[in-house]
This record gives sequence, structure tokens and C-alpha cells, in this order.
Amino acid sequence: MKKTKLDPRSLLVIVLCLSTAVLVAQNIYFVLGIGAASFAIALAFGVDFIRLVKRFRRIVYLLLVISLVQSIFTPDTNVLIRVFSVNLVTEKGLLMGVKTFVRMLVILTSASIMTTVNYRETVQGLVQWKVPYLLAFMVSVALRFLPIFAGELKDSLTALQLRGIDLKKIPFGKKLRVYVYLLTPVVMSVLKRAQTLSMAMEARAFGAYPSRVSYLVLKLKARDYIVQLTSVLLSAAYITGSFVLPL
Amino acid sequence: MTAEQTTCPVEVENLYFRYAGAEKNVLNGVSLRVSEGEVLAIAGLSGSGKSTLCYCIAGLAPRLVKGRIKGAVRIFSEDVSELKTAEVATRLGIVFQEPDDQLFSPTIEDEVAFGPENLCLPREEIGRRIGEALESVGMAEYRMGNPENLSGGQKQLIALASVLSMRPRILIFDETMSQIDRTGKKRIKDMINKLRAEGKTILMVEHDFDNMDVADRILVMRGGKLHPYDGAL
Amino acid sequence: MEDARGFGGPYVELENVCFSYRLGDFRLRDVSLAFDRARITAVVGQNGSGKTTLGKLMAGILKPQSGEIRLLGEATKQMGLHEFGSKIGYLFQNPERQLFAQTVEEEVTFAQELLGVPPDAAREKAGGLLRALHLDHLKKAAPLKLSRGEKQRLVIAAILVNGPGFLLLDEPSTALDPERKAALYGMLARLCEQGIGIAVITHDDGFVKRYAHRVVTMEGGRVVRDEKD
Repeated sequence: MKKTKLDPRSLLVIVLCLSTAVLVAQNIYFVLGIGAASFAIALAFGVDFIRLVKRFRRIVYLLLVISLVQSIFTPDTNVLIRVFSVNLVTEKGLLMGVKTFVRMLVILTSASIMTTVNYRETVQGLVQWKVPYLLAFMVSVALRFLPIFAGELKDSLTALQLRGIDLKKIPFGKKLRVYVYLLTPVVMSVLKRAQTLSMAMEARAFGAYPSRVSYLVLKLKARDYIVQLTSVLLSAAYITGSFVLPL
Repeated sequence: MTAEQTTCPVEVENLYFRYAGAEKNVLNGVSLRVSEGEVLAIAGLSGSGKSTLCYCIAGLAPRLVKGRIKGAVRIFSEDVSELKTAEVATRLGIVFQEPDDQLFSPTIEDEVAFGPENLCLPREEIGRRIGEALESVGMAEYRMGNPENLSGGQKQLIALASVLSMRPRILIFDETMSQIDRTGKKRIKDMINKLRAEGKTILMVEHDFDNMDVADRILVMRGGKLHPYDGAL
Repeated sequence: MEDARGFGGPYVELENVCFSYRLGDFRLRDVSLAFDRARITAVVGQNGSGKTTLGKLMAGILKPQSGEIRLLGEATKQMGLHEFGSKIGYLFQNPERQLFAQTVEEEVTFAQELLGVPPDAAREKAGGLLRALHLDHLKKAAPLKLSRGEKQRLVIAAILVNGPGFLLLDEPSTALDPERKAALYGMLARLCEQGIGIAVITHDDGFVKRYAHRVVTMEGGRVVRDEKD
């Protein structure tokens, strides 16, 4: 974690600016520019890309596939690839595909920037921005338990295969049944944990009063205001530029 | 002298409980009186209703744990069903069996702060209570750490600290030692002894007799009723 | 419940096995062990000694970085998890992680049916196992409504239907009361008499003293003691 810490709300502002800019900008060079910028910002915040890419390999492949699908069959005069008298990839299509891919990567990169903050602080930041506490709290509980359920799903998968079931060889008709089997222990675990958790929370007076006090209070400092203002202004200028400038 | 000072911490009179959708009662006329400063162990086979009794005493059943209840449960002479959430939480604390199901905050400080925050205490008071509770369980140095990196026994100590920060006078340990190793068990037992010395009333539910040597009295749950301990479950 | 392959050597064999989750984080260092049929082995050691890792390697859930693991003489390097299941059964500490079906009977038959065994044959086989494990009267019950001890027996039945000759249990007596612990251990002893090899990762000294034919002690990822009766 960087020593000069920024308030999580400043990161939220940066992330929102990046995401908005990349979705709104139409010019391919501007889109690529934001891609590069978000990558650099994420690195600056200490995001470990190598580890992330390894873990989310499959998602990146999926994004590539989606972008590829986006790029084909788009009508345009400038045809790049033609197969059996069908216009497969046009210049417009290729540009669209690239833009889609970069946009999705920027969203992922933004999410990774948010992981550099302790999620209690993010929740507190949202609450101080007047997001209802219950909503923010539920999101944070979900975040806490997601890795646990991912682990349980993995165990469930292991246990199912140890019963002699080769998942690659299940006939298509029975695949749904197998998924139900697979998810049953995990769903049961979710329900059971939810009950114990709600008991533990109630026993600690959750919801006793209409409002609650927070021990953790976030204070925006001068640098936060500077970062937030700069981000908003830069993005606004960038977006305007992408519409106004030719090419 | 206030009502709290002269009365019995936990009183159960002829308690019956049946889970929603169940055919039989799990509690069949349970009666119990726990004295102030006493450590009472309730033993019994799995499924005998020991935890259900705890939920009833803590007011969690039938409020969160659905079912039909009959009979009286009083803490410090007040009927639990008539106490508000905050009132129960400041009189009675409960530590459950599974450490991972009671800890949900990213840092230990947040976890221990949770209860007092819900009570809308002033922030300085909350800070004081966090320090006290962590000192009490011997985990003060872990204050800013992540609960996920702790051992099972340490997690249960944090769960205990999160409950102690509400300053309850009654504590229930619902099979708290069953999922942790020998070192962890010893630390919990040491805590129980310490809390007894501080005048707290403790109810511990167990099925492992090795864990019950800290108790002043042992009762056995059998057939939905409590019996004095005669050497067998 | 006998293995018909007639292999004469040890059922499970580890040779110079090393395992680490991450670079430098060695959980198992140069472990060589052999486990036989019809014997109960207790694997003991502090948390972090490597005993759980050992169990997972034997069951095929983890693959070693170096060394070899053999099941009935066959190298397991290329074996998929589903192949392990018919030779060696693994019981997770929490039986609820391994209960998939809506009824007790279905729990024991569904895997067989997915493998192509006709429903009647699967039910018959299941019936025999459920009777042997005293779960017959609960055939139509929902697995999740059973007591912990019953759930464990159910998982064991569901594992045994595949015909493995070896069972591995990870701390099965956690959260079991004394009566149910005794019932479980008695059942394991009976299975052992019928020829099944058993390895139990455990903290329970009582079990070790009374039931184990052999005690393997792990420390720091190595076998520090191996005592046979």
C-alpha cells in the first residue's frame, strides 16, 4: 500500500472518471489512451497485474471472444477480411472490436484499483457519501464470503469427481443434473452461514436503533480534493476532445 | 439497590420449544437457575437441544430461529421476549461454534467495534472498549490485523472480544471449543476462569467432557429436559 | 468390498514426495511412506505439520512437485480425480461438503447412475451398503437433516459404492460426541476387518491408542516417527 494514502472516495472518483471516459469516448486513439492511462494508474497504486492476469485468465479469454464477435459482420465500405464472398471483418468492425476489448479491460482495471483499499474503508466512504449503511454492509459481507464460497465450490467439485464422475465425459442431457448436484452443498452452506451470521449480528445489537455510529471516520484531505477535482476536469476535457477533434 | 443486583442472572421456567415444521419438541419442559458468577456446563449428545436452549435464553429463538415457544425465560428478572435488541445485547453475549461465521470485518478493530457502533456509543467510548476487550483476551497486538490470518483459537478469542466490548454480565459459549485445537481450547478455558473471577455468569454448552473441567456445575440435556450429571450423557 | 486386482504390494505408496503451495512454502519434504490394506494408520501432528497435505496428495486432490505416488503399483501422475475415486476414498472434515443429493438413497446411487449403471442395480448395491452402515431406515430422508455422525456414515457409504480398497479420513471425530465417536471408530474397525485400508488424520489420542495399528507422526512436513504395532 502506498504510504501517502488516498481516501477511498478519491479512488472511486478516479475509477468512475476512467470508466465513464472510456465508455463515452468514440475516437479509437482516445479509447486506447484511456486504456494506457488506467493501466499506468493501476500500477501506480500497486496492483499486481501478473498475479491478476494469471487468476483471471479465463475472463480475459472470454473478453477476447466477445470482442471478436463484436468485430465481425459489421457493414462498412472498407473490407479487411473476406471469406467465401462474405464480408467478415471490416475496418469499422475491427475498430469496434478493439474498442470493446479496451473498454472491458478498463472496467476490470478499475475494479483492481479498488481492491487496493481495505473494503471496510470503501464501505465507510460510500456511507459518508450517503449510501444506506445496510446496502454497503451487505456488499461488504458478500465480499468477505466470496472467497470462502469459491473455496467451497472447489471442494464440492473435487468431492464430486472423487465419486468417479468425469466431468468432461458427462452427456449433455445430464450436465444440468450434475450442476445441481455440484451446487447443492454450496447453497446449503450459504444458507447455514447466513443464519449463524444473522444471529451473531443480532446478538451484537445490529439494527437496534435506526442509525449507528461509525468508529472509523474518513476525512478528505487537501490532496483528495486535488485528485478528485483533477480527475473530473481531465475526464471532461478528454471526453470533449474525443468528440471535437477530427480523426 | 437496582433489580439487577439482587436477582438471578438466568432463569428458565418450564421451557418448551419446537422448531417450525418439526414434529416433536426439542425442549420438553426445561427449568434452570444460574447463580451470578457461576460457570454452568450443559452437556448432551448432538441434537439434544443444548444450542436451542442457548438461542432461547439469548432471545434469538423464536425471533430469528423460527419455532413455537412456551414457558418463561428471564435474564436479571426481565422476560427476554420483552427486552429490546440493545437491552439483550448489553446483558448477554454469545460466542458460537464456528469462528468463520461470526467474524465478518476486514480488521479486528472493526470487528470488535461492531457491537458498540450498533449501540450508538460515542466514538471515544468505542475506542476505549475496543482496547479493553482486546487486552482482556490478550490479543491487543493484533488490533489492526486481518482476522482471516488467525488460528481457530485466536478467531474465537476475537469473537469473544467482539462480545465483551458490549460489556455483558452473562456469557454463553455454544460449543465454542469444538472446532479448535488443544492450544486454542486452553486459551478459551483460561478466559472462562478469568471472566468468572470478574463476576460474570457463564453458560457453556459442550459435548466433550475434556472441555468441562472449568465448570462449577454440570447438567445434562436428555429427552428435552435437564438432568443432574451422573457420569453419563 | 475387496479389490479384485490382486496386486501384492502396498495399496498406496509415496516415494520422495515434495509439495509446496508457493515457492519456498514447503508443506511436505521428501516423504516416503507405504500403506497397506486391512490396517488402520493414524496420522498425527500439530497444525501445519503437513498431515492434511499428505492426505490430499494421497487422494489425488493435490499433485506433488517431485517424487512419485503410486496406487496399487500404478503411477498416479496422469490420473484424473475421477480415477482416484474408484481406488481411494477421501472424507472431508465437514461431511456436508460432500452431500449432493435430495435423499439418502440417491446420495449413494446418483454417481453410479451417471456412470451408466442401471438404476435397479445401483439401488441394490446402495441398499446393501446402507444396511451395513445402519442407515437403511433413513433411505428416504434428506441427507442434510441427519445428525453429523449419520452424515459421515452416509458419505462413507457413498464413497464405498465405488469399491475403493482404501479410505482416508480428515479429522472425522471433530464435533462428534463421545457416543458417536465410538460408533464411527467401531465402524472403521469393521471395515478394516473386511480388508479396507484406512488412514485417519486425527488429534484424538484415544482413537490412536485403541484402534490404530500404526502411527505416523508428522512435523514440519516430514515424517518424524513411524510406529507399527
